[in-house]
Parts: sequence; C-alpha cells; structure tokens
Amino acid sequence: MTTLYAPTATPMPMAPSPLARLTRVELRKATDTRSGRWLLALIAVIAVAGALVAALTGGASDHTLASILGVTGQVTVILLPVLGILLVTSEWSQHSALTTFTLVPRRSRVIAAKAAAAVLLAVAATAACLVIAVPATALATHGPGAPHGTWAGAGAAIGQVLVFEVLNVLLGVAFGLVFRSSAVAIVIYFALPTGWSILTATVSALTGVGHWLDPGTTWDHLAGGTLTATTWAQVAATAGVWIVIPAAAGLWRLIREPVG
Amino acid sequence: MIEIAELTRRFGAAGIREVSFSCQPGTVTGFLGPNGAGKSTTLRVLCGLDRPDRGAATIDGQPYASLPQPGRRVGVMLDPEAMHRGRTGRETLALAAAVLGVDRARAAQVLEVVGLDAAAARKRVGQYSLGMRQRLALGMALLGDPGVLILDEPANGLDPQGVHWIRVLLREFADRGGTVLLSSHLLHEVEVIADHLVIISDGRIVADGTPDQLRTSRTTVARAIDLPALSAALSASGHQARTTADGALETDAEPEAVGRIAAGSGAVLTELRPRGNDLEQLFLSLTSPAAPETGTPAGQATPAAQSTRAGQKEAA
Repeated sequence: MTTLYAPTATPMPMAPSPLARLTRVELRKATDTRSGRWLLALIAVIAVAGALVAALTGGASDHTLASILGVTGQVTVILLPVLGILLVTSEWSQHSALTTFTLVPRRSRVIAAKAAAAVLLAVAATAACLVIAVPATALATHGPGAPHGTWAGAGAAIGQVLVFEVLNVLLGVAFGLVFRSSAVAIVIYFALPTGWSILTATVSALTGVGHWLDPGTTWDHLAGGTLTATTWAQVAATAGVWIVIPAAAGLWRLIREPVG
Repeated sequence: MIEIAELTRRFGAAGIREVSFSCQPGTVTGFLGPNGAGKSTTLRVLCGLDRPDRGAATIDGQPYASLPQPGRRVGVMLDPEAMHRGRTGRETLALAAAVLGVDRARAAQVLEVVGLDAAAARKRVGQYSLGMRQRLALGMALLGDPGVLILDEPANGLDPQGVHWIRVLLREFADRGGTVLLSSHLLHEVEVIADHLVIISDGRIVADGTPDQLRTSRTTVARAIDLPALSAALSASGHQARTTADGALETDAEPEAVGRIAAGSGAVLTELRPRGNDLEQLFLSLTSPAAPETGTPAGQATPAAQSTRAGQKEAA
C-alpha cells in the first residue's frame, strides 16, 4: 500500500484546471472512442466524395476552388453537427456526467470547453475540406495551367466555409445541451430544420421568415458564396435563434438542475 | 474534515431533512441506512451535484463546488456506472488525470493500487465486471491524492477478498490522517472498519456515535404484577415505555428511576434489568420501525431510538 502515497514525479497542482486543458480533454473525448473515430472517418469520406462529385460534374464555372470548397463544406456539415451533439450528449447517454461534473463542479466551464473543442473541430474540418478541395479543383481543371479565375476568391471562400462549419457544429452543441439525449437530439437536428425548410418553402406567408431564420437558406449563403450585407444579417439572426437561444436555455437548466 | 449542517433536500415526500454530522480526519465514518433512506441524496448534495433546499455541507471548511481543484482534496466515488463504456480503463483514468493536471505515472500507480493489471486496463469499461468498475472508480477517487474520500456503497459487487481489500485500503488511508465517509445499507460491511457510525432512516439522522457509544445506549426492561399501572406511572414521569412481544415493559428510564417510580406508584416489580444494544438490533429497530423484533407500529419512535438520541446529546 506504500504506492498509495508515494510522491509523484511532479508536484500536483491545487489550482483550477485552465480552460485550455479542459478543451484538450474534450477534444480527446471526441476522438478516443470507436464511435467518435467512425464519425470523423465518415465525415472525411463524405467530404472526399462531395469534392469528387463537384469536380467531375457541372460546367467550367463550377470548377473553381471557391465552388468546390463550398460543396465540400456543405456535405461535411451533414454530420459535423452530430459531432457537436455527441460532445455534449455522450455525458448523459454514457452516464459519465456525474464523474465529469464531480471533477469540474463549475458546469459552465465544462460546457465552455466543449464549445471550444467543437470550434477547433470545425477549424480542423475546414482545413480538411481545403486539403480535399485543392486537388479536386486541380483535377476538375485537368492538371497544371488551370483556367483564369479558378483560384479567384479562394481567401474569402475559406473564411466563409470556416464560419459555416463553426456555426453548424455549434448548432449541434446547442441541440445537445437542450435535449441531452443523443438519439433525440440527432433526430430533432435532422427533422426540425428540414421540416422548417419545407414549411417556409410551402407556406408563402412564412417565406419571408425563412429568409431570416432557416439555417438551410441563410447559412448556405456562406458555403455558396452569395453573401451580401443582408445575408450576413440573416446568418447572424439564424445563429441567434438556432444556437444562442437553445444553448443559453440548455446551459441555464444544466447549471440549476441536479446532475445524474 | 467533512461538516454537514442541517442539510435539507426534499423530493416531495422523499429526500433528507435536517441532516447534520461531521467526519474527522483520521477516522472512517460509516453512513448507514436502508436503500432509499437518503444516503445518496446526502452525498450528492455534499459533492455539489445537487443543491440543498436549506443547510450547508463543507469539506475542509469550503463547499465542494468552491474548491478550486476538488479532485486534489476529495476523492469521490458515487456511481461506478458513471463511466463511458467505450473507453478503456486506462483511457478513463488518463482523462481524469488530464483534468486534474496529474502526470501519467500517477495514473499507472493508481491502477496498481486498485489491482487492475495491464490486461484489465486495456479492456473497455463496458466489458468490466461490477467489481472491476468499482476498482476503477476507486482509482479515479484516489488519483488526485486527496485527503478526504467520499464513497457511496464501495463494497457493492466486490467478492469477499475485494471487500477485505477495500477495508484494509480505507483503514490505512484513515490511519494516515485521511477522512473517510462511506455509505452502506449493510451494517456488517462497515461495523468492522468504521470508527464512527451515522444512521439515517427516512431522510433523518437517527443515530450518530462510535460503535461503542451506540452499543452502550441502554434501555431498561421491567416486569410488574400490574404492568399497565407501571406503564402509566412511567409515562406520567415523562418516560417512553412500551410493551415488548414477550410481555415486559421496555423504557428509556434508568433501572434506578424505574425502581423509584414503581415504589412511588405502589407497583410490585417482578423483574428489573438494563438492556444493552446489539448493533444489529439497534440498526434494525432504528431503520425499520415495523420490524417484527420490536413489534412497534410504523411511525412510532422506539424507546431504543429515543435513548440513543438522548445518549448522543449527553455525549455531545
């Protein structure tokens, strides 16, 4: 039993865990299980497939980096929000919330670390999209000596896809916070915005609202490169309704309610 | 040092009411009570996972949630199921070590302490037996080298060797100045190791003291020719008295007091003797008012319970 109290190589800290450390832990949690790795692999496969389809179909005007990167971004966000959802809900579906919040009783810090990890994963996803889109663009324009304009607007496109990926993964985090159950959050994530899109497309009175509050319409401006001052405002309004409000409500409940 | 003061947390008719006790460094406190009596609720509120309606609970003078790095002060094991089943034992510990800022060597050391070998550490938690999960959860609690341990039913799922092992481990932890609070619904699991017993029933603390104090809490058994008259005289003098199953009176009054009351009332005593408590009898009578041994109707305080409370007040 002497090992129980044997001094460790470095003195152990009494200070609170810095947010950067908690974020690293959350990133590790997202990638250290089979389901996490499968999800990441699946997103990568879909991104490659999307880039190839974009490169091999369509006209010359579609074969720009901005366009192919946009398509790659759009297909990755089919599953990227699920990553955000699982970052939060796995704590409940796997009953580990009790352990997590015992180690870090300030629950908002855990959620802040999860949101930070989600943003970093979105950055990584954007980088991966770029890594996939560049050769796909080269392929589309058949090797060296790409036509004029192929690489135009690449900088802005990268920035917009990054915002697009970040917003979508945070939508997942917000849904996870509200529903806390992986299955419920994922089903509603897929069903609700789709239902909302159908509703705003079919009910003419709602079309105007859809321009402002339907993520399928407003955020696609980011990936589609069709941004104006108005559409930026629409992007922000949608983020408020689909991310800020549910995340705030979920966090408020989490901080007040008993865990476990 | 754990201090719990008048902690109340209600869930409708259930929950805990004005729970107060403290755990001193160097001791093992056994927190006993039947399932559903409020043990887990008390421990969860103590660990900041639930908020009390009233009252306070502190560890080394601070509420758990205010401790800057709680894992370094308090090792907590509330539910061995509270682990991701898809992670290996080693990864589960590594994540906790990363949160605490503890190095990998410590995680390896802890695996050894709780008796999980390399093969077990590589397995996924979902493949663990309950006993292995208990060991891993205990490892998580020990990881930050804390001075206080809070363990909810730590012996659950362990084989007899495991139960012995955890006893030795906790005894050594306390003997080195650590504070241990462990809950159980089984008296025999804790009476061997605990220096201090706290018994909870129906959300209230019904006994609090060392095992010896609880054992020596006495009642008096008396018989008289006119038993109802003696019973009435005892009640008139402010004592609790009840008829036992074998037709004697059991009261919280001292034998001398019973003798004086009998003499004063003219009742003729045929038997008068003090009765010590068997811990198991005491535990049963305190936690299940309707237990057949006592024959007391549910909801009515037994003389044993009364005298235990009184004894505690005197001791305090």
